[in-house]
Amino acid sequence: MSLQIISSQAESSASIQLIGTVDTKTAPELLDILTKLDLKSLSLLKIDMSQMTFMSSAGLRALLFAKQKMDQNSILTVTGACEGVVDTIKKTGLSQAIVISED
Amino acid sequence: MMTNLLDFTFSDLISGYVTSYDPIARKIELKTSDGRDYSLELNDNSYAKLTQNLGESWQDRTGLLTERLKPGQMIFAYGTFFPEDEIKFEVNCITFPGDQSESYLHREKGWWIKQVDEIANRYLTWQFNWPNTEIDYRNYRTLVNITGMKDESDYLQETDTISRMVYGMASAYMLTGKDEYLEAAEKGTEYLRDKLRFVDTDTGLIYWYHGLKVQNQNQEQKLLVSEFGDDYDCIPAYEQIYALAGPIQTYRLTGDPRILDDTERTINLFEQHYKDHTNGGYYSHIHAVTLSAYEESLGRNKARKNWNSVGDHAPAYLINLWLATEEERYKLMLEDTFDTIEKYFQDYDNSPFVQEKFYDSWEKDQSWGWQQNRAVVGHNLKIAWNLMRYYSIDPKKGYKELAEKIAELMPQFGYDKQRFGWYDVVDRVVKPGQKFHRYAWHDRKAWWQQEQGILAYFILQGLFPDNKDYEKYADESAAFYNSFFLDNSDGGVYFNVLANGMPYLLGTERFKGSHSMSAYHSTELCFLSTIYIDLMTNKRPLDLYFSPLPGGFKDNILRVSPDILPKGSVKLTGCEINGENYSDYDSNQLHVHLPHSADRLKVKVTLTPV
Repeated sequence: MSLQIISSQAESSASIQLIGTVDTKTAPELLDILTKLDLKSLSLLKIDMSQMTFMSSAGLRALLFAKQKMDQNSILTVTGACEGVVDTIKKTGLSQAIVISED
Repeated sequence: MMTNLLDFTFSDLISGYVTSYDPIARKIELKTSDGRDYSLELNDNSYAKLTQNLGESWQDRTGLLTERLKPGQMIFAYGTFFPEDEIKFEVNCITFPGDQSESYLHREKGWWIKQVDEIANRYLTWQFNWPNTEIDYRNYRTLVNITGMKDESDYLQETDTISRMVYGMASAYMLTGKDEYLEAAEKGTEYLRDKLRFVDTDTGLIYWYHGLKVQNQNQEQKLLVSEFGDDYDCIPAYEQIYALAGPIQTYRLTGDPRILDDTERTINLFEQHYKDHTNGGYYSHIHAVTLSAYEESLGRNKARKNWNSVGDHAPAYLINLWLATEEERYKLMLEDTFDTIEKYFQDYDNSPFVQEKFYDSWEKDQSWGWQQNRAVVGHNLKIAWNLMRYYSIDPKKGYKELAEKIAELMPQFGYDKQRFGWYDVVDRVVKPGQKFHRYAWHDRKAWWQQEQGILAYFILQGLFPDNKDYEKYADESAAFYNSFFLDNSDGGVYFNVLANGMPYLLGTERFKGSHSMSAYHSTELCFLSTIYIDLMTNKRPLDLYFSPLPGGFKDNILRVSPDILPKGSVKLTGCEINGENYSDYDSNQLHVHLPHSADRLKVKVTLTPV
């Protein structure tokens, strides 16, 4: 299944909407979009996962790669993540690195 | 053409062996390591001391010069050259590495155990304010300065520096049996699992973060990719390898099956993503998202192999893992890494040093970053040392020949024959008109490279005692290290010393917790020097401590061989469990058959050389 990514940045915050599947094949596309953002200037990066059906560990690594480039006090929030993705975030030890929001 | 003249005074160190001493004229005749003669003059202010171990006070020997300056006595003489009608050398200070000729403090029973105890104790204080405050790795910081202080604005916790300190704690426990070191090892291992481990839910693989920043209590900044210049934005094999060093040394004590599971899954990562299944060896870097070694974005690290990615498995965790399990899978992996080194790293038609960096097809990479066509002296020594460890499992002729070749060449090309000690990074070849291999940056000596030399020559002496050069370089290296690297003021060891032994204390080399240091090599040196000296060269009994968890080790067998030793050279001659004598052990296999117990046990064993 393919991945569609809608990205926007406004000063110190950016939003990315993921539609489809982030798997081993599509994770590099996500990384490509993320690294085109001015990550160092971001205090907030919101990932809308409400229309995302699956995220592999490769997708999580892309998010972590981006977060590492942001200021250490910045926040990476995911919204609308399905139960499976939330479970993956917890199992991979990321629950204190990624803020999970239901909005 | 102008020539430079040495017609000015300068201070330096001369190391060697006394050939005669005239107490009236106050003149010492001395022969260096490579047989050159020097005349040294004492003046009114010359003084002498005995090498101090960590935790020991100053031991003056100024009043004992006549008794101590006997022929054959090794000394370190620091003084000043005066180029006058003759070139004179006036001594400021003499350091004795022992009180009699051929009697070295570093060979005395307990010398290295005291040293590891002091180092481990100091790191607990620096990192956790122990014993005033409990051991809590949330307070751990990678950056610790020379006095053990942390920077309040620093929040960095690197995986490898924690793992390296954990290794030190576990090793200190095995030698001393002190509970605080076991606690520190286990808590550190738990922290690594909890905070710095990435469990890949798709594949079951485990990899380890580069580190963590812990500024906010409720939010962590995970560092997925390396932040070091050599490895920037990649996941280097080196970091994954050293993430296992501490946990596996802890596993040897406890048998905690969770550590073994983490390790198995990290080894699966090596096999699936770092191993070159076509040409052999392990890639040095993989991409953070695709886990491929072939991504263009890896830049100069794309599809490369190096010493660390091939050679560091063995010393960092794999030998220790095999010692704890004796599993065939790990032995085969060890053999594969050593065969790879033997096959591809030798380049003696072109250089006395091994080639360390390679392209995919094993073509030499001599254009990478700082390495170019340069050698790390300590990597050569590390190859000799580790080949000789594995040699006691599988005595391949090629391993012995390579180790002996390195042991013969390094004193000529990587050693300071004037002052003792091992140099750092040097050009692999001399250019036209040059006599000496040029130093890449400086002629300083790094603590970890001294360790490689000391261990290489101790184990070579143990295996091949007829070659007296091995004993000589073991003693010279160990004496230099103990005389100049121990920080008798603040504790721990110095990162670098100048060629003359003076500590170099600028910039990052003031740090004692940072990358590659963090109590690892200094404690490993204490641990393995104790083993090689007690069990291989000086041959005397050694006590070791373990603390297995209930049902931890497979089949309840605790394997207590502290390193790979020649078959049949050591027997298990005594065992206590929780302070009581215990007799169910295999003296030859060095196995203790643990009793079934609902509680963890404290096991003390005595190993005795045959």
